[in-house]
Formats: sequence, structure tokens, C-alpha cells
Amino acid sequence: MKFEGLDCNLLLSPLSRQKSSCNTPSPSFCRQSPTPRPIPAPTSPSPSPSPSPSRSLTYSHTHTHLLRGVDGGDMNDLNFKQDKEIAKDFLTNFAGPNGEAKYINILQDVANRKTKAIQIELEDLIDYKDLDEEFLRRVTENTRRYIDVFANAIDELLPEPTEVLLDDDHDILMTQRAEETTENGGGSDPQKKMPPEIRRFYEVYIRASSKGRPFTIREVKASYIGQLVRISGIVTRCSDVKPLMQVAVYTCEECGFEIYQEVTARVYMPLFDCPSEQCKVNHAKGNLIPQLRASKFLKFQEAKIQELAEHVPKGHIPRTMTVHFRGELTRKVAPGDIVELSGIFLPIPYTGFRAMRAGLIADTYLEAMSVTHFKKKYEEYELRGDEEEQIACLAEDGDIYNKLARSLAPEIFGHEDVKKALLLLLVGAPHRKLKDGMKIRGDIHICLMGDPGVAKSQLLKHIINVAPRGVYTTGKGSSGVGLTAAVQKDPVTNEMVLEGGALVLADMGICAIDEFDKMDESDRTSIHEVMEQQTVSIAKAGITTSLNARTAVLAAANPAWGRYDLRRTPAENINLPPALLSRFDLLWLILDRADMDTDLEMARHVLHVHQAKESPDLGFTPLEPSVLRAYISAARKLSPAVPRELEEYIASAYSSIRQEEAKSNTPHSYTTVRTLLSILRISAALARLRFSKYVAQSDVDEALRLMQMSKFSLYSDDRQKSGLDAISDIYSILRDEAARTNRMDVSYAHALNWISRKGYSEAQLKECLEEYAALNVWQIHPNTFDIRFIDA
Amino acid sequence: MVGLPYDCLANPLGAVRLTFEKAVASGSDPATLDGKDWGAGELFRQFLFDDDGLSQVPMLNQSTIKWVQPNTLVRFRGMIQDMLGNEYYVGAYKDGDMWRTNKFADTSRCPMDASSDMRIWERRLLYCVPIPGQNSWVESSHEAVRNSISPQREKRQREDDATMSDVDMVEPGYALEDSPNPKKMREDGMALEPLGLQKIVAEGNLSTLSLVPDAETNSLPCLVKIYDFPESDLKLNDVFEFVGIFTFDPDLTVDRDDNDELTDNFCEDTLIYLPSTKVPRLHCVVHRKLIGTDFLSNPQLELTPYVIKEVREALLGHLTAVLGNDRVAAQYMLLHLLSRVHARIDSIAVGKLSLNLTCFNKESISVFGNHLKLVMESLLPFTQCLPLTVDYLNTVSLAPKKNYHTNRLECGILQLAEGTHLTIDETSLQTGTLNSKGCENARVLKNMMDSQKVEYDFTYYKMEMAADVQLLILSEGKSNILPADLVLPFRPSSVDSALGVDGEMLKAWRWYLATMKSLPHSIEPHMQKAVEDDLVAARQADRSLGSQEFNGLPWGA
Repeated sequence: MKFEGLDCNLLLSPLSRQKSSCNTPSPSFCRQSPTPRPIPAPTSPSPSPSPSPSRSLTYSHTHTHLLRGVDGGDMNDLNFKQDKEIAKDFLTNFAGPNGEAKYINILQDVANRKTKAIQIELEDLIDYKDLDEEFLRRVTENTRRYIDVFANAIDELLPEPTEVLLDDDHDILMTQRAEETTENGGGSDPQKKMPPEIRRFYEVYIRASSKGRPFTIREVKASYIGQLVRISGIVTRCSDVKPLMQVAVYTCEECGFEIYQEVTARVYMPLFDCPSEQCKVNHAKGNLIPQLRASKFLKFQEAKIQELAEHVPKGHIPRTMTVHFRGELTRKVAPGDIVELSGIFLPIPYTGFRAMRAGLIADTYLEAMSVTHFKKKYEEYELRGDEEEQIACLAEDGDIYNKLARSLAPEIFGHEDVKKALLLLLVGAPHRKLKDGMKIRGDIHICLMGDPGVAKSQLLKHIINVAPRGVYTTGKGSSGVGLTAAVQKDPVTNEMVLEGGALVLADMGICAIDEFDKMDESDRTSIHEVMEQQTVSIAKAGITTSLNARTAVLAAANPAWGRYDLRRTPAENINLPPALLSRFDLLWLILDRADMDTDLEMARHVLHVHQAKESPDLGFTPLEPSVLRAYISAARKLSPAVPRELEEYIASAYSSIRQEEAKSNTPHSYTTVRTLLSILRISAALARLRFSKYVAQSDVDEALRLMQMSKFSLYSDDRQKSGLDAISDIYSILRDEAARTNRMDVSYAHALNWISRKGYSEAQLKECLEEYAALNVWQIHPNTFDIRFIDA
Repeated sequence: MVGLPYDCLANPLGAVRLTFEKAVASGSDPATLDGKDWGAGELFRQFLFDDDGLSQVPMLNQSTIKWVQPNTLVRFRGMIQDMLGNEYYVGAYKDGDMWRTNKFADTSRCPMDASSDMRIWERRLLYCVPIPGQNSWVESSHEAVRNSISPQREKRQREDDATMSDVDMVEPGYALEDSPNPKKMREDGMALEPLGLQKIVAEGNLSTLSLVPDAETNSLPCLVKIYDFPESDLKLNDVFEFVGIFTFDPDLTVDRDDNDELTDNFCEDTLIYLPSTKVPRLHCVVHRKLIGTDFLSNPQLELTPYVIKEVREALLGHLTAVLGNDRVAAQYMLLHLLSRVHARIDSIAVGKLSLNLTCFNKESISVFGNHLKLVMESLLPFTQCLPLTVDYLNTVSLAPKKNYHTNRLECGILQLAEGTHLTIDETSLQTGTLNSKGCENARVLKNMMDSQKVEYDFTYYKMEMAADVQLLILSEGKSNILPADLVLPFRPSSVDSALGVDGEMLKAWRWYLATMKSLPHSIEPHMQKAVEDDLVAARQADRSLGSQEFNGLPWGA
């Protein structure tokens, strides 16, 4: 029998203490009262409240088992017997989705020692064809007891192993015991009968139905005591995993019998006098010696969970709850994890001195039955039934791109293109690994640079909320670890440990770095590696290693002088080295500029807020973050390819950007080969959003438009500088594009796309359309505004 | 209801018991009484409000705790500092054939048979502290109320040195009634009590509870147990008056050593850190939220335009005098003192008006800073001062923090009751380096300024709690760390040393501030248009104006 982190103190202390205080009851004695107080639950599922050594059974498959904890009440006993038959029937006959006998298969695995845990899904019970509603209700309301019922049923159903197993020491012990009992005449002496627990090498859990919303800790009230509940929360503290004695085994010095004692509470009173018939008759008072090796232990861990911030009503403090994990469920959680637990809500009676309050107050805890981690990685995201439909519904909607983008941070006014870019960052492009081992990252890095007070930080925080795995940090970093990784001394063990920084923690997720420009110099150099190679290498204090940091970086920075200085060149304003800049797929400049319309809009907003004391209507219903998350995770499953036809188009687009940049004496961007990769990445992300396997030309166009729009706020000046007026410039752009594609018709959407890439607004386009239509250069469709050139 | 068979004041538990038995006798199933009032609450409400019993209920504080009897009705005024979650207790149980209840009690009156039928109910625990920054005049107005009922007080004092027989006399119904075990009760509750109370007195001063915001020795926290009322009624940092049953049982003081190592300090009870010798328990029967006017001793001025105008002028004159004849500053100060958060929309707190008085120097701060402080203390119920220095920022913890080891919310300076006035003196700030704690504190302060919210640190996440604090900043230049809604250069022209004001005047001013603050107001459409145009014009003229500045302005209108 193996158990991890065996802490003998835990096991021995009751005993050693007891020896010192002999049989004279003292306060300390009292505290470890062997009498587990009956649990004051309405339907007491309490296991045997009697301190007497187990009343139990011989080791035989055919023996009809007694049930523990039934103190009188043959009716009860009968009911449980009936229910055991129902449980047996269910386990044998339940058919999984493919018609296979789900639980029989699991039992076979258990018999072959492949698994230890048997999880009985309540949902299966609901789905079961011959479902007895009453039985289901009894299981949910008295779960602790029905675990026993199921375990007993399984004892009887357990098949013979189909594979040859190596005997481990547990088996050898069992064989010996079996022989002994037969020698001693079939276990006529009830005191020596073996409790069923000691033979079981599996654990039974009943898992709550995952339909519906889980409870918050606040909602679990006294009326739920003894019932199976499902709650969500964040783990705040975890104890070590310790062995918990389940069955204590003693041997008697006098008669040599093995004596079993079931332990149902955290503290128990060890036995001292041999209760066997032989000793009793002889008045021998045989000394009992505890047999640690023969006893059965369970792994046991305690944790505290706390309500999630979003579940706490305004003006209240988050509640906490104690959770007990046993057996296979231990080591599943760590502090900081957001989990969904199903478990049994049970009271712990106070022991000893505090029980002197006459059972007035009880602590409660949750006996965990299953653990599910929340907000897991996209890859592990399982869609729930209704979500799948919802996504299919959304995907059919043609406007999904805009709809999703607008649902990001709906309360932040405007910034629609920024939100689109951020949506693409969430979606990302597929990682590619070439045959020669070269990796090309798929994560899209975005840097938001702009004047103070343009809601950059708020955008960042919102993105982190939507992403299943996101870390928000500032360039300075709040802890000593910084952004990458550090070697630190563990305060408890004094060992040197490698502690990952924000970028490492955000592996396979998103790392939002605020105040990017104020980053430490050491981090700034290592971030180069993170952004392209997606690893963090460390060589400190004798530790040389490389950590994965496959994260999309979302940075926010202020321009060099706090505000963007239009008199200086963009390069001067953007206070980051080109090596770093080129690694961002999009560098978004958000300038706070004068504009009568937006100013008026804002003044109205402010006044509305003050007058009506509520937010103005958004004009649409934003999608819930959970829907966003589900949609994005579905989109991320695809890896779209670039069709051959598009190669030429992308190549020419890239080269024209390079050309333009070469012409300009103050370029706004650094176009490198990385830019080309960026275009591909953004296009692939767009294709993913459409659930398409191929990148379309419209995706590339949108990618190019976004790249252009990111510097939009800079262009108003340039336009004034170039002598050409806007209207004629727009005309020439449209003319050129039409000529290039050799078409006479230009759709309005295309036209808008092209001109906005050159930095013009929709209003200007409309003006241009009207003016030239009046000149009979083109015809405008009255409804769709599509353009048709009239060529002589 | 004349001739009650029980004394609500001295034997509230008797009343609880009787009503319970009546309810059970009239056929209600004890199991359904969970979370419901079976008439006891109604009875107390009638006694307290209709029969004017409230004034007879003694106020629980450091001085009265010495003579207040356990299991009697007391009042406690305090701010909810922490919520300790639910406590499950045996609400009703069967004693033989009789159903009994433990509601409003810490201990069962008769030993319970472990196997008897029982119902588990729950109650909520609130940890309440005296309101941080409460000024002495608020205290004295309480005194006044209590002194006015001196006969009652004398009776209490007499009881204090009373002997056992006296106790019997006070509670004749108790012993005669149905309590099957009166002797035990007396032993538990009474006989040990003098000893226990002495302990309180002795330990009261020693109480090094870091949980109490300012370590005033005479502040008395209280653990209030709430029954039945919906959760949304009581919020963190709200100021309440609780009327309830004071219990004290020295038996229940679990000392910390008793906590055996087996439990690994894990499953332990929070209450271990709050022994009843230091924190009295109050089983709340009735609670009432306190607002500004409740702290006034005699709120009886008439609400007519003339009276208001007169009081306003007088107050303005006083403020002008205090501010060295700077009438503009006084005007703004008055507006500042009248501001409160009316509503919250997204991240904007509508109605706040923080004021930054600049152009202070070493000399003027020592004169006017002190004057201002005194004036605030005399006018407002709760005021706090924050000397902003590098050392202070680096060491103090401003935002409350959850301590997971004690399972308590550790109080921060900025955990303040609604309507508290906070003066931040920035003049003593020198150059220096802020450590990470200092940065965090500066950020918390700025957040408070911007959105009237304080982030409470729960380690794994931060929770923003709404605050409503009037912030006044005194600085040499414009404060960049703490951007206020209004920045006003302070130009005193004289120093008025005679600041003596008569008490009646002060009372009128307090009334004016408290009442005016709570009045609603609205912006008419034509006014809205005018303001809108002004805002756009202002923004056209000065690009640096943002929406934040705009939000501040409507208050002047």
C-alpha cells in the first residue's frame, strides 16, 4: 500500500498521547473523544456512530453485506437493500452513447487495476431508461449514504481481472487474511470480520449533473446539508496531502487475531483492549498493537475555496468554504485555481472541548466528488450543448466579425477598429512547425500606443477577462520575478526554485503588459526572445533552462513625451527600438485629437450620465464573455491555409507597402519580412473567425486595412501636406484599383476598404461619390452605393 | 399589549421563547420557522418604536460594557467592517415532547440530547467596529440621549452591584417560567459573569487588535449576529444601529493553545481570534441604517428657504473667516462639503467633488491647516486626516486586505464609512523613493480620487468597493499624484485667530450640511443645453480637457 507524504505524526499522535494519559479522562482525552457526534442532518448519512470496532463481514463474494451505520430500523435496512439492487441494475444495464455498457467497462478496468476511481454521473442516472425518480431524489439528498450503497453494489458486481496482475503487498495481505478467516471457521466472531473498505481498491464518487448554473458559495444554505451540490469558486488555500486512516488494524498479543476498526472522523480513539471472544472469555485483556502496514489509508487534502469576485453582491465580502478531497481527487487543485466542484455539503460536529457547546454550532465542509477547472485553455475547452447551437447560429450571421468586436468592452465608446484587432489577437493564427524544425509563431502581438486617457488600460483588462488564460501586469512588474522568470529562494524549504514571471504564466494565453515603455531594461531584452521564439531562457544560480512562453503579447505604451508630439517624427514619438517594434504585428496609435463631432458626442454622454443617472443605451446587446470565449475556442480549432491564387495578391500588396515606405521621408512604420508574416497571420485569424479552411482575398484586404487604420490618426496632417485634395485623391484611388482588377463595377464595401487604407474617411468617400456622379463619371446604385464606371 | 408577561429589556430571551412556544402551539411546524420571524421581531419592534422603548436601551460601548448584564437588550452603533459568513446552529430541537429554540442565543439553555430531533438554521456574522474618524460631538450627542433617561441608568447601576437575589428580582418570570434548569443557567450566565467582565476591562486596553482601524483604546468592536433579514440590507462599510441581545459566556472562550496541531490551523474557527472577552456578541433583533441626520442631537430646524439662506450665509461667513478671508475658497469649500456620490454609471461616480487647495507653504499650513481640521471636526460627523509623506506611503496599508490565515479582512485606512471627510495634507511630502507598497498605496489613493472606489485586496483578485468620501487636498502646487476635480489657489489675506463659535450655531450648521447633502436635485433641459454648449466650447478652446474634467463641472451649475 502506497501513500504519499506519509506523516506518521498524524497517525501516531492520538496513540502516543493516549499512552501518556493512560485511561484517565483528561481535557485532552476528551477532545479526542472517540464518539463521533452524530451528524445533525435531517437524513443522517452519518457512518457508524458507534465506537465499537467494525461490525462487518467476512471476505467472501457471496456473503450478503450488512450496511454500516444502520442503527436499528429494519425498514431503513430494507430500503437500502432495495436501492442496492437498483444500483446494481443501473451499473449493469446502463448503456453509454454508443450502446456499450459504460460502467461494466469501468469496473473491468478497475478489476484490471488500471483505474481507481469510479465516477457515477448523476446525469447517467437521469438518462437511465428505467429511472426511478424517487431513487434519484434519495441519491441527491443523501449522497454520502448512497456512495456506500453503490460501493456495496460494485463489490458484488466486480468482475475477475482479465489480465494477469502482479501481486502487490496488498494482495498478499488479503490472501493471507482470507486464509486465516477460513481457518478460524469462517469468521463467526463478528469483531474480527473485515470491513469492506479494507478490501476495496477503488473509490466511488457520485458526480453532480453538469446541467444548469453551479451554485455560488453564498447560495448553499443550511437546507442543503447532506445533499449533492455543484459550486464554483477560487481555491485560496491548500493543505499538504496527508494520509488519513480509513481502517485501523491491530493484532492482539494474546489471541493473535487481527482486529479492525473503522475510522470515520478525523480523530479517533484507538482500541486498547482486545474485543475478541477468546480474550473476553479468558479475561485476558489482550494488548493490541497497531499495524500501520496492514491498515488502510486514504490520501486526504483540505482546501479553502472562496467566492469569485463576480458572484459577490455589491458591498459584500466573498464567502469561503472548506473542501475535503480524498483519494484520487487530491492534488487536483492549487491556490489560485478557479474550479467547479461537485460534492456533498456536510457538517462537521465539533469535537472535544468545543462540543461542550452542546452541538449548538456546526462547521460545514464540502466533501468533493469531482473537480473541474474553469477558464481552462482553449484547447481543452469543451462546448456545452447549448453553446454549440449558439455558435452555429452566430456563425451563420454574416456580421459576426463586427458583432464579436463590438462585444469586447462594450462600455468603451468607439475604438471599433482597435477592438477588431484585439479580437484577432484573441483568435490568433495557427502555429506552424516546418519540417526542418523551424517554428513560426501564430500568436498575434499588438501594441497600443497613445495619449493618456484613451482607455488603453481598460481595453487591456477587458481582454484579459475574456481570454481563458490571461495575465495582466505592468512593465515594471509587481513582483520581484518581473516579466520573464527568476530564480528565487523558497521561504519554507530554502530551496532555490525557478519562478515564472507573467510571460511564462501566460503560456498558451495572453499576456497584457501595461506601461510597456517603462519596462526594465533586463526584461526588454528577454522579451525579444519571448515575442519571436516564444521561450524564456534563464541561466542564473546554477539553473540553466528554457521555459515555454507561447503567449500573445498585448502591450500598452505612452509615446515618448507622455503625449504624442505632432511636431516630431513618428520614430521619435514611438519610444521603442525597431527590433522590438517589428515584432508587433500591429502597432496601434490612438491619438486624442480635436473633432467637433466626437467632442459633442462626449459632452452629451457626460451630461446624460449626470442627468439620467444611467448609461446611455448601447444600441445593441453585447455578447456575453462566455459566448465570446466559446466562439473563439471553436474558431481556434481550425488552421486555415493560404490558397495558391492569393500568393500573387499578397506579394504585390507587400511590395507596394515597401515602395510607399521607401518614397516617404518620414515613414510611419518599419516594414520588414515580419510584416508579411503579420499579414498572413491576421488573414488566417480572420479566416478562422469565418470558420473557413482557406484564407480569402477579403481577409487579406481586411488585414491590410487594419494595418493602415492603426496609423489612421496620424494621417490627417499628411493629407493636408500633399497638395492633392481629398476628393480627387479618392477618385484616383478608386480608378486605379478598378483598372488593376479590370472591372467596371466596384462595390461600396470594397471602395470603402481601399480608401480607408489610404487614410480617408467614409464621409469623404460619399462626398466624392456624389461629386463625380454629378459629373457622370460613374453611376451610383441608389441603395447599395455600388459604383459602376461609365467609360467612353 | 399592556402587562407583558416578560420584560423585553431585561429578559428578551424570555420573550423570544414565549413567542416561539406560542407559534408552535398554534400549529406551525418548527421546521418551517427557519429564516422566518414567528412574532418575536414584531414584538421587539413594537416595544422599541411604538412604545418608545428604544431610548431605554443602553448603548454598548467601552464604558457601558462594564455594567451591562448579559442576555439583556442593548444598542450598538458601528460600521460593518467584515463579514464572517454564516454560522450554522441548532435552531430548534426537541426536548422531550417540547420544541425549543436557540435563536438569539449562544448556548442552549438545557443540555441537548445528542440523538434528539433538531433543525439546523443559519445566521450571519458581521464584525462591526466603531465608525472610523467619528468626532467627539457625535459621541456626546449619544451621551445626551442616554443622560436624558437617567432613571433607567440608575437602575442599571444599582443592578451592577446587585447580588444574586437582585438578579432574581429583576427576572422573576425567568426563574418561575418554564426553564427546566434555572440553576444551571444562573451558573453559566450569572455566577461567572463578574469574573468575565473584569477580564474584559482588563483586556480591553490590551486588545492589540490590528483589526480595529485606529488603535483608539476606547473603541469597542462587536460581533453582530444577524437573523432572517435579507442579505442585501446590510452592506460592508454601512453604518448601522443594531438593537439586540448582548450575550457573554466565558465558557465559550476557546483559548488558542487549545487548537491542536492535528487540524493544521486549517479548519480552525475564525472566532478564535475574536474571543468574547474582547469582542462582545450581539444577537440582532432590529437594525436600522444610520444616515447623516441621525448623528445630530436635535434635528429640528425648519426647511424653509429663508432659514436655509440664513444658515448658509452664516456658515459661508465662518468658512471665509477660517480660510483667511478668501471668499472664493470658502464658496468652493461649501460646495465640496455638500457633495456626495449620487449615482454610479460605468466607472464614473456622479456627484463627487474633490477639492485641491494649492499655494500652501510651511507657515500657512500650520495655521490654516489646523484651523481647517478643527472646523471639519466640528461640522462633520466623521473626519480623517492623512499626512502624505514618502515614509507614510511606504509603510501604511491604505486598502483593506484579506488575511487568509485568520480568515479576516484586515482594515485599511481607506475603509471608511459613507460620507466620511478625508483631508490629505500633501505639503509635508518630500522627494524620495516609493517602494512597491508605496506605489500601490499611491495608486489606491488615485483610484479613490478618480472613481470613488477602493480596491480591496483578496490576493487572488481585487474587489472594488464603492466609497463615498469627500476628499480635500492641501498642497503647495497642483497635486499631480492626486488629481482633484477642482484645483483652487488659496489666497488668504488675514488670519482670524478668534474662531469661537457658539454651540447652537454649530448645531445649525451641522444640520444644514447633513440635510442639504441628502436632498435630490435635477438638471433641467434648458440648463443641460447651456452646459453642453459650454463644455464643447471649452474643449474647442483647450484640447487638454478630457471627459474627466467635464464630469467634475456640473457640480458648479
